[in-house]
Amino acid sequence: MQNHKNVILFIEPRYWSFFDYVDGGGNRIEEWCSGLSMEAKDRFDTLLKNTRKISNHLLWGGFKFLKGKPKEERIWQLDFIADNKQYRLLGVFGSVRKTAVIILGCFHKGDIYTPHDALKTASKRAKELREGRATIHERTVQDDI
Amino acid sequence: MSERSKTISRLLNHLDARISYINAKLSVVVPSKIKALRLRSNMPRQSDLARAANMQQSRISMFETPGAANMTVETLARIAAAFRVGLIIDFVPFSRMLDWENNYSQDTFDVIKIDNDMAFLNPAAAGVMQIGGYLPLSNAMGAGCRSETIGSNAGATSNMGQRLQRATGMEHEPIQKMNGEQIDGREKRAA
Repeated sequence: MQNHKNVILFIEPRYWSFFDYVDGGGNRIEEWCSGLSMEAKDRFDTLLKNTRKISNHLLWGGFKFLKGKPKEERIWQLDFIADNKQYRLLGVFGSVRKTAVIILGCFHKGDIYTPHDALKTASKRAKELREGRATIHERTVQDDI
Repeated sequence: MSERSKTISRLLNHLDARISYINAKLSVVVPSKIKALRLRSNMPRQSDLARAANMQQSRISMFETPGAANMTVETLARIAAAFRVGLIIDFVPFSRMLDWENNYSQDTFDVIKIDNDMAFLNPAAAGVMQIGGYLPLSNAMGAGCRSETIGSNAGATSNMGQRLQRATGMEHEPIQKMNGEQIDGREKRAA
């Protein structure tokens, strides 16, 4: 028994699960999505559908950790382009393997974001999640369309 | 009305919706395939691929960002050539486009390079059908069949029937059910 090691086995999920940030005001990501153009919504859906299949998040298309943010926040960004605009999803990873929470959607031109306080809001929401003051809701990914 | 029904209705009735749907799939899957091939190649840095394709590294970066670049057929051919693989651009039913997307995974996608493509270089000696670059089906189709390398992932055995049909040149011909009713690509598998 001396060499016995306690090994905790867990099953690696096949795909990533994406969750939406939800606060007292409702599902903020769904709200953002409902205001997207058809083209942007189609790309957003397709992006998540395919990104969830890529095991290593560093290989996600358009993935980066947000620069200039404190390390503990570890906010990431996922870029895509639609309507000739650069859209950006901001999110954080969950505590369970292969889970990611989208905390904000926005678009930007250079350093100018719409909404203008996107980065500040993302930090605030990440903090609220860490402190348990906001919840999450799993985003349904449709394989049949 | 479910989300799927809404989308189907939109696709049936609006040209713009169909364009958007097709573009969404292409603008996500094609960049992902370029990235997958680059990472599996002997030129894992974007700058290496750029050099091989006679392009700027910034363009390769754009090609790998979903939706960032409107790639022409010429550009895709150039990238395929740099990877030493072929390229197929095809018109297909929506059901097959959906299969193409669902069966794709960046984690597993790879394509045999021309240097190792024995079915292309020397089909008589190879003596095998090579489908998807992964699934040798010896004797499956008999002598004289052209080999085919399809960009798809290894696990996609579910659409083997379709692949065999493609390999035998029956791709666009309607299949008749026993009662003579035509069926589309999705129903082919069920049948």
